[in-house]
Amino acid sequence: MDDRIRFIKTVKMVSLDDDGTMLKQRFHEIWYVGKLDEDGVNTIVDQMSNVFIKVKDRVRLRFYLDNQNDLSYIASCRRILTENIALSIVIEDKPLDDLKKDIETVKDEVVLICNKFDLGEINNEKVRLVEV
Amino acid sequence: MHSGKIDIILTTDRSMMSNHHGKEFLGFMTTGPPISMPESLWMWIAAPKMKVDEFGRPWQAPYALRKLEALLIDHGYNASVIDPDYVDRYLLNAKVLMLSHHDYFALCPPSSEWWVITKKEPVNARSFKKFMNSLPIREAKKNGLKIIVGGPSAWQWLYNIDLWSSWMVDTVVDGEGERIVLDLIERVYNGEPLPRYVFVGPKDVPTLDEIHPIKYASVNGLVEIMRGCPRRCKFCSVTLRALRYIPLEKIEEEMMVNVRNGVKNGILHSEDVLLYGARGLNLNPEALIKLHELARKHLREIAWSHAALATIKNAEDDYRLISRIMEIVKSNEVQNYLGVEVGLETGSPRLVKKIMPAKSQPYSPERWPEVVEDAFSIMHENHIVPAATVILGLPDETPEDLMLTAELIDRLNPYRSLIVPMFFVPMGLLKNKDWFTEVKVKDEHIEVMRRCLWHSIRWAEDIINRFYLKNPSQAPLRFLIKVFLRYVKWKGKSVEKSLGLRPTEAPITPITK
Ligand code: SF4
Repeated sequence: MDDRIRFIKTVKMVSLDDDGTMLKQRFHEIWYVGKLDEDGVNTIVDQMSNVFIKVKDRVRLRFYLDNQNDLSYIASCRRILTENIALSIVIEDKPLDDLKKDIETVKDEVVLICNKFDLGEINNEKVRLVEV
Repeated sequence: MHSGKIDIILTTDRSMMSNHHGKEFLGFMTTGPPISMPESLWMWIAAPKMKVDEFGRPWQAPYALRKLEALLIDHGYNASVIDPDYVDRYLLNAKVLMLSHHDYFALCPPSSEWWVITKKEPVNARSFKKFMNSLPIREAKKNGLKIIVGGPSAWQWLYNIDLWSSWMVDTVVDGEGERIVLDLIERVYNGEPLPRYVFVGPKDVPTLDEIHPIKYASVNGLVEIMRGCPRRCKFCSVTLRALRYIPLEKIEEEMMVNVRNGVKNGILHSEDVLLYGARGLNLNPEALIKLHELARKHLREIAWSHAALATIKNAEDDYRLISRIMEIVKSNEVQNYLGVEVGLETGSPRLVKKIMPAKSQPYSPERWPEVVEDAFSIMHENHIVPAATVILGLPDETPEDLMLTAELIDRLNPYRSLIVPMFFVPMGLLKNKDWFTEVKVKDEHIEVMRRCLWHSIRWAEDIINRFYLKNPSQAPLRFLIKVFLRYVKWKGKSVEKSLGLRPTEAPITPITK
């Protein structure tokens, strides 16, 4: 193979993280609790736009749910997902009962969006509470 | 494959798991509902069953499934692509069912358009639903099965949440799968929870080294030659990803896999084949010549998946590259044409400028109609047969834009080609179950559509007789398609009559033989 062909191996337009995984990378964490209505989605979108400033390029959206078999919250996320092309987005859900424990064990910064939901006192400075 | 048990099953429904009689274009019929014939006959023409081995492993399988199969096998997993008719044999003992599809629920064009016009669900969506409903999913789930779905139409699950739920799909993956699939499989094996939805952004696409060569034959010998696209159209995620040219030795390796497995023809796959090896939009003639010489060396017939009209004109005008490539293609004296999909999209320079300014580069958007006509002429002279798409219902489209498109199609009359109109369906509409009744079809859309219809019917017979299905063994298929074309012609005329339209059909005057 001559050099003119060989150069094409190395052409890249953006840099990649090279450890070959995705979920183990650092994500901008946004958690959500409470009803997911239009205002809630707008708040998520606002928070996601901060990611561009932080240049993390990855967002994990975690929803705390009463009933994890009810996927209707995904329908509310359509706008977020279909308008995005630049960020990696991971959507996950957890049982509401896990929230308290998860808040206590947070190590990296988390934005917790809360829509008309009584959380009680939050004793972890890594958790930034955003009310809808 | 170990002792009849497969941990990771990769599959899809029949509309995808088929080689379409070795004629990729016939696969387009899966995007429509059955017209004038029973569904079984329609499916036989569009997507006949694939030959399988004793384990139900298909002779050829969609390239995306083959890529993931290779990746998983190379990482030590017991994974295999299985024909949809044989999946239930393995499902109860499997850990993961992975699905991929180009158009799960027929929401992409041209399926969405067939749906709008006929008000009937296209066979690809019907076939997929039938397949999913035939599987013993509930029992398999009790044994711990996880279901992961992906492919270019993964986004459609967002509009079918009831099916996502009732088929108990665990994760939907949108984007290039190599990195995320390994993560997800690791989680399954570790018993960790899976995310519901993953969009793979530009930072998480695989490097060249992480893209593993296929191990078994792909449908019609499709081989990827590059990923990414340098055109930088707005709202396109492909263009944000790293541009990766697959090295020739890897391309050759995949061609040889296909040839060894008896698939002698091949499709070079890229968003724009002529940009292989390019620096930005500056073409690399040497890389392209070497690529085609390589393909000529190993393959009986070569096709391109997609090429941009602007690149075709640029390649011929500046480097005589189309003629040189076609000399190589025809040099085996077996192949006398080359098929490709191209995007015509509109005849309106205003719309090009507004929505896809990069489309015409290196020429200005104002020159778009000239670029299209020149590219069609170049292809005609060189026996390249394009299937061109036209997009209707673009945001901000005016009646004047549509008339410019209609005029351009008239100017393309002398050039051998198929022109397929596609409806742009705003995603907002898809929220409703009966979205296809809400798409507004204007008179000017009908003008464009009937021009496309008559243009394509006129040229289809010529293409079938001279290029596409000319072998004696293809006579039954050729006969059926000709009957179908006659029906479409009759139907088209009667619809025109019922709408009080003057027939558009006109005699054809080919420019060259
Ligand atoms: S030409 Fe197609 S793939 Fe390339 S940037 Fe434009 S829309 Fe994306």
